[in-house]
Order: sequence, then C-alpha cells, then structure tokens
Amino acid sequence: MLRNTVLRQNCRLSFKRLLSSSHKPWLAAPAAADKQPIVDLGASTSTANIVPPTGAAILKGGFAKDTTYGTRPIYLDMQATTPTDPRVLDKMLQFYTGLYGNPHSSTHAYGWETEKEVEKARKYVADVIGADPKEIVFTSGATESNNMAIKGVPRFYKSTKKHIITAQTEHKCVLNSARHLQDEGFDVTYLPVGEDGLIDLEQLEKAIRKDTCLVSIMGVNNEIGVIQPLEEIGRICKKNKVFFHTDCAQAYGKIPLDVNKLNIDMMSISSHKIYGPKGCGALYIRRRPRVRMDPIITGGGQERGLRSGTLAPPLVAGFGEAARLLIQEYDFDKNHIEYLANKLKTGLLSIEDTILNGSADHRFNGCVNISFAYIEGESLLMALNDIALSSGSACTSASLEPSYVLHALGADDALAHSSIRFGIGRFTTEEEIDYVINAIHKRVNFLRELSPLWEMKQEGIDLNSIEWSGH
Amino acid sequence: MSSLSKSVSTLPSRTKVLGLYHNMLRSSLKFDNYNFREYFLRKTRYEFRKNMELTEEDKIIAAYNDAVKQFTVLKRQATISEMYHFDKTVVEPQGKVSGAEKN
Amino acid sequence: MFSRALSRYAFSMATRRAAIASPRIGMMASVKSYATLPEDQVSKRIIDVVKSFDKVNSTAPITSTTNFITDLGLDSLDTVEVLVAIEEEFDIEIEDKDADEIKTVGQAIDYIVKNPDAN
Repeated sequence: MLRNTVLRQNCRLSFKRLLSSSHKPWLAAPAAADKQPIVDLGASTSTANIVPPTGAAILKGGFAKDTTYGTRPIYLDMQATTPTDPRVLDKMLQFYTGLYGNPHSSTHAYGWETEKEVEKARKYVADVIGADPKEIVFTSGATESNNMAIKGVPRFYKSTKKHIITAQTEHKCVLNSARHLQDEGFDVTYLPVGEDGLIDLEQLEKAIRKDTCLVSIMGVNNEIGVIQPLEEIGRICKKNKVFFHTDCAQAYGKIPLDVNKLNIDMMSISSHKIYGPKGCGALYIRRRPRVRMDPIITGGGQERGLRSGTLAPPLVAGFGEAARLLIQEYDFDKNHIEYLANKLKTGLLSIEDTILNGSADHRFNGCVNISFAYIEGESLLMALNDIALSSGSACTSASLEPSYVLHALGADDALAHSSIRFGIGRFTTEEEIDYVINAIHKRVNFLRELSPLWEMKQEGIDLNSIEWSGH
Repeated sequence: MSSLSKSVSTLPSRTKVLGLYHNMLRSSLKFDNYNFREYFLRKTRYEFRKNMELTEEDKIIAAYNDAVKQFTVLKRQATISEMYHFDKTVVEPQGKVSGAEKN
Repeated sequence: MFSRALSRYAFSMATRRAAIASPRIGMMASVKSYATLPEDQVSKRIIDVVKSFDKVNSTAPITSTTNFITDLGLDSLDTVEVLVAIEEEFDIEIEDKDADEIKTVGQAIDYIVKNPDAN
C-alpha cells in the first residue's frame, strides 16, 4: 500500500512537471543556427531580425513550417479601416453596460444622461475642425454623409441650379451619387486630375457656371494619399457663391482642417478611419451662411430635421472619444507616422523600376501607393499574404478591374494592376515596417526572376516597340 | 496599487510616480494585441519622459492626475484584452524570447 | 485490557502513518527545491536582460555590484524599465516597496533567488 502511494505521487509530480514545461516553451527555444541571415539593407535597425519566408515558400505561404513566429498577417491597410483604440472601447462599454437610455427621451434621467454624452461627443467632433457643435449631424458613416450632401443640396435648389462639379478620383459613393443626379436631370462635370493626382484650379474656375450648385472635392484621396488644394478651392467657390463640399473621411484629424479658414460648407467625416467604431460618421453643415438641403432620411426630426432616427449613443460617444484622442495625440501620431512613412518610402523606392503614385509634396504620409513594374499584380498580392495590404480601395477590390484612380492619373493597365497601397497608422510599429521592407525586396526580386518581361527589359529591349501577335 | 488609482491634490512623491510608471508598463504588457501592446509601451515611456523635466508644482500635479486617469482606463482594457485571444502576428515570437536571444 | 490494545493499535497506526509520511515529506522537499532557482542561472539571466536593454552599452562588464544609475548611466525611469524586463523574464511581480530598494544588479539577483514564485 505504501508503494502504491509513492507511485501515485510520482505520477502526480511528473504530470505537474509535464504541464509546467508545456507552459514554458522558451525552455525548448530553437538554436541560433536555425535563423537565416537577412538581407542587409543598411537602413534596417536591430529590430529587423525577423525573417520573412524565402524562395518558393513565398507563394505557398510556407511559414507554416516556421513555428517560432506567429501566422497572423500584420495589418498595413489603415485606409480601409483602423483598429478601434482601447480607450474608445472603454468609453463605449459604458453604454452597453449601464447607460442604455434613448438620447431623445427627454422625460427621464436615462434619456438626459445619454443626451449629455451625445452632446459631449458632438463638441469633440466639432473641435477637430473648428466648427460649432450645432453644425455637426451624426450619420451612419461617410457614405451616408456624402449621399446627404450631394443628393440633398442640389435637390433643394433644383429650381434654380442645375450643375454640380466633382473630380474623377472621388470615392465611389460620391461618383455614384453624382450619376444618380444625372438621371434626375442635373449636369455633372467630372474634373480630370494631373499625373500628380491634383485637380487643375483653372479648369475648376472655367467649369463653374451661373447655375452651379455644388463643388465636391475630397481632402485626402483614399488610394494615393494626395491632398487637394482645399484652401484655393474654397476661395474659388466662395467667390462664385457655390457650395463647397469635401469628403474628408481620410483627411479628418490627419491634416489641419479649419472649416472657416478653408471656406468649407459641408464636410463628410468617418468614425472608423480615426480609430473609432464602425457604423458611425458625421456631416458638418455650415449654419452661417446657411446651407439648406433635402433630407434623405425623414422621420421624427432628430439632428435638426436633416437626419431622423435614434442616435446610437455607444457609437456616437466612441466617435467623440476618438475625435478627442485625435487632438490629444496629434503631434505624437504625426511624428510617428512620418518617421515610419519616410522609412518605408526610402526602403521601397530603392528597388529599381518602382513608382510612387501621386504627388510627392502634397500628400498625407500615412498612405503610400507604389507600383512595381514588370510584375503581375495578382501574383504580387498572393506573395504578400502575410501582410494585410490592398491594391486600390477596399470598395473596388472585389472586381478585377484596375483602380480607376490610377487610370485617372494616367497609369496604364499593367502598372495599375501592380500597385500596392500601404497604410500606416497610430499603431503601426517599426518592426512591422522593417518586416515589410524585407519581404517586399525578397518577393519582388523573386517574382521578377520569373518574369519574361523583366528578362527582356534586362536585355535592353524596349517593350513598347514589340508587336504582340495574336494567335 | 489601489493608492495609485487616486488623484492627488499635493505634489506626489517620487516613489508614487515611479510606482505609477511601473504599473502602467505592466498593464501595457498585458495586452493580447501586439499593436496595442507596443503602442501603449511606447506612449507610456514617451509621456513620462516628456513630463520628467516639469518643475512647476501645479503642472506636475495635473500631469500626475492625468496619468492616473489614463492608468484606470489602461488597466480595464488590459483585463478585457486578456479575455479574448487571437493568433500571434508574423512579427511576434510564439514563445518567450529569453534575454540571451534578444542580443 | 482494551487500553493496552488501543495503545498498541495507536502505536502501530502512528508508525504506519510515519512510514507513509516520511517519503511524502521527502518528495515535498524535492518539490520545494524545484521551485527556487539556482543563483548562477538567475545571475546569468538577469545579466542578459540588462545587457539587452538598448540604453545599456553591451560591452561594459556587468557584475553583481553594478549600480543601475551610477555605473550604467540609466535614470530612474530606465531602472523601472529594467525591473519590468526582469519581471517578464521570471514571470513574477515585484512589489512597489521592494522595487524601490533594488538599485544594483546584485540586489535584483537576491530578490529573485529569494522569491519562490520565480520561474
């Protein structure tokens, strides 16, 4: 019996030891010899000791064999959406745990307390752009805000004004709304952009007619990161007494925006681009001089009658908190993003035959769009499946057509297909940028080795002179 | 640690400030998400270092109270983050990297 | 009569219990020694952690008498960061009042060696 007890206790101890060692994988850490040497680019720091896969393993996503590092891709697509900041989540949880009242219930404390929070959020959102809180209308997102502005304002003035102006590189929702208005009998001018992605101000002046109602130009382009000359456009519009709407979903909080200095009459804002919750946005509508519009969503008259419907306090409060953090963190984030963006640009443009799409001066650094020539676009994206990236915008990624924005810049089909957009944000780290630079260098070289066009280019053949014969 | 969650009205002692720094770094390390973890570590280091040079008493008290407020949010969110686990990203080592391997 | 039988019974039970107990005590002792770490291992790991701290010049010799502030040129915030790195390495939490006392590498080693929770 004694022997049984001893045996039992031995088993228990060895089981404990087994459990504890499984929780201490560092005891079985791989030997240093297993780590491959990395390509020394000179620009990389000591943090660049994480090795992306090489050789044919690239296309197979072969890092499944290397279990020393994780498998989840790193996120570099900040223009599509941004992670919700934990501090924003903290603010929102209050509304899902206790403050559940309807902000429009004006008869009891539950309504009053949530209304107070909604008004606080409104003030934070307005402060970022120097607006009055009464001029902010909360919507379900920038798409709804764009629809409200572009359909609502011309419809109100349709008896006297019949013309609106926009640009070819606008977001799909703006272009679609404009096309919708064309069906309703309006004239729409789509301004072309130059090779740098900027509109020509003289063309804008010439396009304005006596019956122009609205000019809609976005602040920062979501695909190429180019900043349009908002101050000059605002001045031109004010001179000609035309309403100026700008889609600032990507620009809000990232570049300095003052609606009075820039003479903006309406501005679309999106919450999930500023580390806030998805499903919320806002439209800034100037009150002095008053901008009138036909509301798209009619009902109980909330939000000055322009957007009826119960507001979602958690989303709105989260949006407000995200806006407050933008002001608080502006310098810290701006310096960080600029440092990382410069590092990324230097690292990637050092590969030969790469082009940075869009103006090099008038740009927001957090959006870097680079075309890699002589590479097939689809295979490049497949090779980059451990980095979450986008080629073009998320809204158009389902179709196989190349990006219309890059087409408008004058890029040909092949170049438009092989362009990649890198989005850098508040939470991107230097390690991730080093990894991306390393990975892109390796994989672009690998894909170019496979490419017959690259071979021909190396031999000095001018590809434009070739007559491709059909069979 | 509960004393570190209270705002002060007089100049906080050196021990208190260093204790707050210590606990904020510990909370930042608890985040499951790689990006949030690195961000809050970087931010905590930056903010404390930036405020290290302050000499006026009211500014120090204001900075300390602001840090205390941020610490309560950080603590809560770190706890929530520990409840939901996601796979590690390609730049995160799977196990623990010992000090020797970092060199 | 019964008392003698009872006492004999009690005595035999006691010896049997003692016989069972002693190997168990022996095993408990071995479990306890498994929990505290040997000093040279602790010393090596702590020195590696300090060396890998990027504000420390890694070629400078680090011994148990190295003072974080006077010898390595770190300030008080950096010292806290080194302590946090040591906490991560050994998977423990250093109390605030003890953290204030640790000013040299040797004191850190002593703290870890004495701590039964260190891994």
